[in-house]
Amino acid sequence: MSRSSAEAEYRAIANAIAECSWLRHLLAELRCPVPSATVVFCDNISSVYMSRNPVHHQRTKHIELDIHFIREKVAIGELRVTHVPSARQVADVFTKGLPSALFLDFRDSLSIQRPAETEGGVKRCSSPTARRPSPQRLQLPAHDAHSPSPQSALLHCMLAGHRAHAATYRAPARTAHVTLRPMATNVIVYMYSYMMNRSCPVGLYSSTHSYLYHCHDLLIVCYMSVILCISR
Amino acid sequence: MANWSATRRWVVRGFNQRPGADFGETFSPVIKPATIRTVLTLVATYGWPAHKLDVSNAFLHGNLQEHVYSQQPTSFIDSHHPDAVCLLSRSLYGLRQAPRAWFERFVGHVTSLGFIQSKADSSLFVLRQNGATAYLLLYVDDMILSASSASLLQHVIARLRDAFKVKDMGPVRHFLGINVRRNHAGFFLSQEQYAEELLDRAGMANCNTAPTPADTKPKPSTTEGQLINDATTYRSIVGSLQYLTITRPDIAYAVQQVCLHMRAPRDVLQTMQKRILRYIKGTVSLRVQLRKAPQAVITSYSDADWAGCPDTRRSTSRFGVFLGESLISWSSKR
Repeated sequence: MSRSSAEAEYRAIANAIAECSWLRHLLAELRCPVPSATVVFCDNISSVYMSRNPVHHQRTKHIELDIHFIREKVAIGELRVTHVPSARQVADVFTKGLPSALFLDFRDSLSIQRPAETEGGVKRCSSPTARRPSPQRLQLPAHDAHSPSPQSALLHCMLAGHRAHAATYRAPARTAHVTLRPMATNVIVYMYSYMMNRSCPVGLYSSTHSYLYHCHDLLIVCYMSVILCISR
Repeated sequence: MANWSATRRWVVRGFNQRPGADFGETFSPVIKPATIRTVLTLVATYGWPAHKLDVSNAFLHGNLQEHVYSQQPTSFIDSHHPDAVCLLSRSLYGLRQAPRAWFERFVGHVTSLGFIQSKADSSLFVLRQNGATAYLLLYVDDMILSASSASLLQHVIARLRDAFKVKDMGPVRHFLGINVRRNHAGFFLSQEQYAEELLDRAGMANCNTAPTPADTKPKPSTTEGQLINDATTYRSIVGSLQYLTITRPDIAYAVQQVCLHMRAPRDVLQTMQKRILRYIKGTVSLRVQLRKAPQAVITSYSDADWAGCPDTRRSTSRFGVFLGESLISWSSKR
């Protein structure tokens, strides 16, 4: 019995993490260790916060054990809990009866297909990755002479990643209008490298909540850049 | 075995065995479906050969720890000592501990070959030898063996043949009633034949199809509707549906719902069960795909339905775990 939906979601995360930990152990035994952090997508903002912030809340007092289990995994970098808009929540198909359009959409995300579509493995377009956010897709391009500048290349890259995540930036033309001040770009570069060093996924999300969530990281990065400046 | 009439087997009456005296532990591990999917995903990624092996008369190989006596088999009674009994040194079919004894014997043999039993799944064995690797999955007497080179594969099969009568069935096509197909993109698992047999058994072979396995109505309560008469058939079909979820995560939720009230099923649930079958009717050919995962990246989706159960108000928690692009593991639990 859960006292709030956040608690129910939180326990669901704990279950998912238990399975992910098992899978990590299995892969380690199969000599295929997983270098990057496991990402758990969850459509409940409160539980995303609960997994990373050492806050103690009146309404989370009774779920201490699960809290510690998840936070420990997050703290050692094995795991990252990230928000995903409900529309892209694949696990929805395991939770409730869905209208057929939505159901078929999610079913494709479960990598289930009819033989005709997959014969020869040709069909890859409307594959799960098209719908599922895949943060690891985002690659910083090499800084060669052909690329205009690291910042703009990065920006382009991130917007491309954004396109994959949500459908906000559909037309490439619109990305041209997005300009960032150098300071902000630097912050993003730091944020990017910070996250890459922590082997965390980088993502931009359209939802306002996620924006806040990333601001939190931005804050850390700002501190980091100040420290970097001082150390130089 | 092509000709069943030619096969005779001495089967002892294990139901007469007394616990504690004639048998102790009987648990024998079986492989988790998630392990099969994980191993096949890796095998697809590395492009290794994967063969299916079959052990003949597997249970006769087990060594017994306990003293078990048996009557002499009918029509093979020693005329000089008609009252004598047999002290069994090896296990026989029908013994309670036969699966466990076989499993222990097998583990003993493969560990002597250098295989290491996995801690994450005790039916998985990994061999690492001079930079080459082999994976062995065991399900009672069926095996999937995959190795980084064809020569290692043959070597392992030869070593297994030292102790057991092992049949090499070639590249894996069927495993546990699951159809396995392979192409350059990865593996495909399907239970099309099983689904058709299930529809036949349920008398739904010619039913109309449904677009989704579950409707969007709220979950039913235990006290809703009338009790059904034939609960046994209901339970047997639910059991088959559960087996079908190995390759059909899309029906996982719907099957979990009809599993909830197995003790006293009501007509509301029977309607839900029929809906699943009608959905399956339209989608028998669906199969799950295990794509190559060049980067070992685990992604997971978790969701909960707060206080979704109308009787207990307990929440349901569900998740799906992806390795690369392949769905490896999923669960829906109350």
